[in-house]
Amino acid sequence: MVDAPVEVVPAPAAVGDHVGTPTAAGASGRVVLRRFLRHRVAVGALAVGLLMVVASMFVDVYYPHSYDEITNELSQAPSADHWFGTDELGKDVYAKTMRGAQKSLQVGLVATLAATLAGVVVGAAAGWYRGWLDGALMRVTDLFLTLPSLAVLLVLANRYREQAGNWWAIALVIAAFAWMYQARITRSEILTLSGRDYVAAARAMGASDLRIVVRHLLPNAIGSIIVNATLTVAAVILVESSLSFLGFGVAPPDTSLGRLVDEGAQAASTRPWLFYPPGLWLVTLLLCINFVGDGLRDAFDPRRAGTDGR
Amino acid sequence: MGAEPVLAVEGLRVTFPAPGGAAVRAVDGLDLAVAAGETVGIVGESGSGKSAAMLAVMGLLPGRARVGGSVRFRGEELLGRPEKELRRLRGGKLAMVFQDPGSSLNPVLTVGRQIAEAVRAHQGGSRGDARRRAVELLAAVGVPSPATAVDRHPHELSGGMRQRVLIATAVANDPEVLILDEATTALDVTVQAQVLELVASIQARTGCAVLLVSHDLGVVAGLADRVAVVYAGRVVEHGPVDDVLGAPVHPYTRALLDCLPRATAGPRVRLTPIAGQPPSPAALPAGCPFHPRCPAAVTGPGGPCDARVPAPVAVAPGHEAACHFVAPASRDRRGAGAAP
Amino acid sequence: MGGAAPLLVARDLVKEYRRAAGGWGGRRRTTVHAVSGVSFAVARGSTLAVVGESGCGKTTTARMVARLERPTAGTVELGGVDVWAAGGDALRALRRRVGVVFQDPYGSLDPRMTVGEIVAEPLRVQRRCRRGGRERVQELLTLVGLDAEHGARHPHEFSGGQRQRIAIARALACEPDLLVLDEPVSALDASVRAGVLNLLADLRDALGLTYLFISHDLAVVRQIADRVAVMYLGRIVEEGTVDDVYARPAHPYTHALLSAAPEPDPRRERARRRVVLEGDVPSPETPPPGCRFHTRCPLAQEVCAREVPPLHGDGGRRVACHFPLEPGETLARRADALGRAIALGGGRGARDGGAAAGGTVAGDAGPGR
Ligand SMILES: Nc1ncnc2c1ncn2[C@@H]1O[C@H](COP(=O)(O)OP(=O)(O)OP(=O)(O)O)[C@@H](O)[C@H]1O
Ligand SMILES: Nc1ncnc2c1ncn2[C@@H]1O[C@H](COP(=O)(O)OP(=O)(O)O)[C@@H](O)[C@H]1O
Ligand code: SF4
Ligand code: SF4
Ligand SMILES: [Mg+2]
Ligand SMILES: [Mg+2]
Repeated sequence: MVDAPVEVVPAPAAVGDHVGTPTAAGASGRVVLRRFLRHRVAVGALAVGLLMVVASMFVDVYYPHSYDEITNELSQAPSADHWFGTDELGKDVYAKTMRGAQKSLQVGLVATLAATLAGVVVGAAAGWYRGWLDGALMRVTDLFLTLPSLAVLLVLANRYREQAGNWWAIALVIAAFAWMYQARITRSEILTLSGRDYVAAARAMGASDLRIVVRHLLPNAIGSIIVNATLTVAAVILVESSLSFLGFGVAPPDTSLGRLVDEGAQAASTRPWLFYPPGLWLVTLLLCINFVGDGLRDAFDPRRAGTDGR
Repeated sequence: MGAEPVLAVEGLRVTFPAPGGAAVRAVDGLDLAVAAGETVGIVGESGSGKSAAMLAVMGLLPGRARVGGSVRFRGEELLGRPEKELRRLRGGKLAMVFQDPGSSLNPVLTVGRQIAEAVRAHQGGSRGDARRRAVELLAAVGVPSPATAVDRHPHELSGGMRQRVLIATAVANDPEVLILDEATTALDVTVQAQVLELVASIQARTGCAVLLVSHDLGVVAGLADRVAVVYAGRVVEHGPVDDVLGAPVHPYTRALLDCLPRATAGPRVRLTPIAGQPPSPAALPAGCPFHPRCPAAVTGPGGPCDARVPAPVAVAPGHEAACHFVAPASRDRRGAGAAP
Repeated sequence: MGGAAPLLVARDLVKEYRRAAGGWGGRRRTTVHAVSGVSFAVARGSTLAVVGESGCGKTTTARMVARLERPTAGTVELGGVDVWAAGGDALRALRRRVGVVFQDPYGSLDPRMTVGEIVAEPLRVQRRCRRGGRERVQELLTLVGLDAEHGARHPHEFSGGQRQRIAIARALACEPDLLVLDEPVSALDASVRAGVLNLLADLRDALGLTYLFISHDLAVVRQIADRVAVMYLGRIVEEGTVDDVYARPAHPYTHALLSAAPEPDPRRERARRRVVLEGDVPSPETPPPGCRFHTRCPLAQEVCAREVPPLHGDGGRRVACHFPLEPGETLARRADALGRAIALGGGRGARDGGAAAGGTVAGDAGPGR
């Protein structure tokens, strides 16, 4: 007979009797979706973000110019033919921006995938086995967190210049410095979840460690993992842009948003169309991803948001 | 009942807005009265609206809750009074002790400070005086070595001791009404016995009115003069404790007593569970709220149970039950109960 | 304990948790003596209840039996097999023979799984269970009084009582011999609790199950158990059949516990005088030497603080006390004989004056029978 004096939560009636509110861990996909949809800013950001992704992925389909096509209209201001104008070689800036956005997204997604995998494995192992393994893994995690990652990345990128043009090599290098938060978050989730009785029940029936982690713990930690992964995408794109901006990202003739911003920077005052379109595109994309991440967080755990979406 | 009630609750309604427009009717027309020196037990299963009702009396519900009906303290209406006036009453003439001794105390303040603050908020006076009063109060509620205990923090005390501290805070300003909402539920039986003993002695000394809220009929049986049985936010039966628990007439009260295992008395018999689940306050059944589970219900064409809400009927002086099939007192069929 | 060989035997179980205590003095290590030498045996087909107040080590005992917590010392045997020495196939077989039900019906079911998956999980994990699959899940759900079609739903769609039935179905999936039930009805409302208690009794009789039933509720224990072991601060202080122990408690603590259990009968409650123990249960980090109850015992003598009273006795009744109560003797009378004041509480009748208020002994109804 649990009796909470003030914090009594309304119970949604499901099978005609009163039952508990789905908690963060218990929220089913449908509930999460419903709460997410109540979050107007996040829904708007998701729509804009998706539109931007589609625009960049399918640029060849609807746009006459290609990013490596050299026209003889040099340094033209934006027009109906060249939406964002052209650069000093006569290349179309819109096409280049879309190409750059593609690369940035690819790097972002691949690096996030790798970082999430690594972080979840490290965090789950640390949180489930505890003891010395936890100590060792967390010390490594802290070490990576304290390293000045951009400096190290620059050194690495400089060292392996030949491979550096390769976008997925860049993604993996960035991932090497992006898994730590995921590891920490996963670990703390696993630590709390492993105290739940359903885990004890699984142990009592003889379930293996792997089964418990994969079947019971990770699915219940999925909310935090997804939220953090979303935010990682934005962080990775930003790191890649910084690298490119410093001249160590995706190598020409290919391009990325960071590289475009870098190239346009010198001309920002004379030919602003070289600088602002890729710059704004980058900022908008990052904002969208972050808003979606916030919305997801609130949807997975309305109590942390404090407002229950109203 | 005789004496003029100190606190009279009539037709109390508490509704919480729920997502999706439907309202959660936590309390649905609850009547209650308690006189000075009297103990009224309020029993009901979890979710029946006991706490919501008590919080409404204290004016402690969250802002989004809608409260209706009437709560009169010494004849004056409390509902709708400005927060400032209520604050003066709360902790003064009206005091409440909650279930969870852990979260009701501020963990960073010593218990002495917390009691002293309660004293000074209502009586003023110097810090020194308030502290001396805190020591007195701790001694009165049976905290060992009160002079050192005042300087302890809540986490240094056991659950039973924390509950005593809360009671000390509650009685600091000689309340006229003391509400105990499941105040012993989180405690072990031997500690519960200590705390109940304490409440009885405080009441014998100060003559305050006590509202004893519990899901445990045993706790109420030992301490209360009168009992109100709450189901789905309403009092379904109330009266002198001997009548309600000794000769219940409402089908719910009877069913509740039948499904309780006994620790010491009586033979060990198979229990009779009540069918189904307590109703969700978001979807209360029409008519008598107990009808989906009631063994005596008559529903369908001609049956009143799912059509009309039964009104309270007096089966004996001061003993009322809200059931269509309870015979009124005039026919003197006290205890005969549900007919069909 | 006579009769055939018992199904479950626990011998001298000890569980100590060491933990670093903070504080200014740097790393000080304290030891929580959660369980300090607990032995019992449960006959096949019977129910042993373990009762006691919170923190006395009931759950820890249950978890050591269910192989969820490794004992610091002592052994657990199931059908003659040492549970904690088993490995490989023997362990697999043991897991199959023990089912566990936990207290919190909201925490013991994985919220992401459907009820069908939850109930089928032991079958999957064990692989070697005799039967498996859909029909078995439906059969189990029907067995515990749920609708066979409920398998597709998620736990949050069910009430506490229904969830506890799901947990019971899961525990029964592999046709175990022993169910370890840790406060299985404590979180349930009275009207729902009765149904689950009836179900447990029916299942035990129909399937020939053996129960280790943990509870803090004396009424529930009387309803379901054959034998009862009363624990105080990590030790069993008294053990015997429920009828015998409840009617003639020999240990002062058992007596006090029984006299404090409230009953929903107002006249009885008022007439009855309960022994109100002084003080609190001491911390298991610093259990008192000798008899652990001596700090609160109205009968304590000097020897009690010095020597640990052994748990002994015969005729199926064991008591750990240097000065056990004789059958029929009440704690108050004995304390009176010793010239001790004993805090007796009673209903209003006793307090409001009247006949009962006169002497300490008069009106002492004892814990009843
Ligand atoms: N702040 C709130 N918001 C929404 N619903 C609430 C709120 N407080 C209470 N309720 C609902 O009102 C009903 C009655 O709650 P209340 O806590 O008063 O019952 P109770 O009888 O005290 O039960 P318990 O013994 O479980 O505390 C419950 O169904 C609860 O979900
Ligand atoms: N993992 C743990 N670490 C430290 N102390 C523990 C742990 N588990 C239980 N204890 C302590 O052991 C004692 C007995 O606990 P438990 O078996 O849970 O008691 P009960 O079930 O009777 O409430 C308590 O004092 C408790 O705080
Ligand atoms: S009114 Fe009908 S349903 Fe309600 S308690 Fe009486 S007999 Fe039962
Ligand atoms: S051994 Fe002594 S202290 Fe312990 S219960 Fe017996 S009389 Fe009391
Ligand atoms: Mg309540
Ligand atoms: Mg426990």
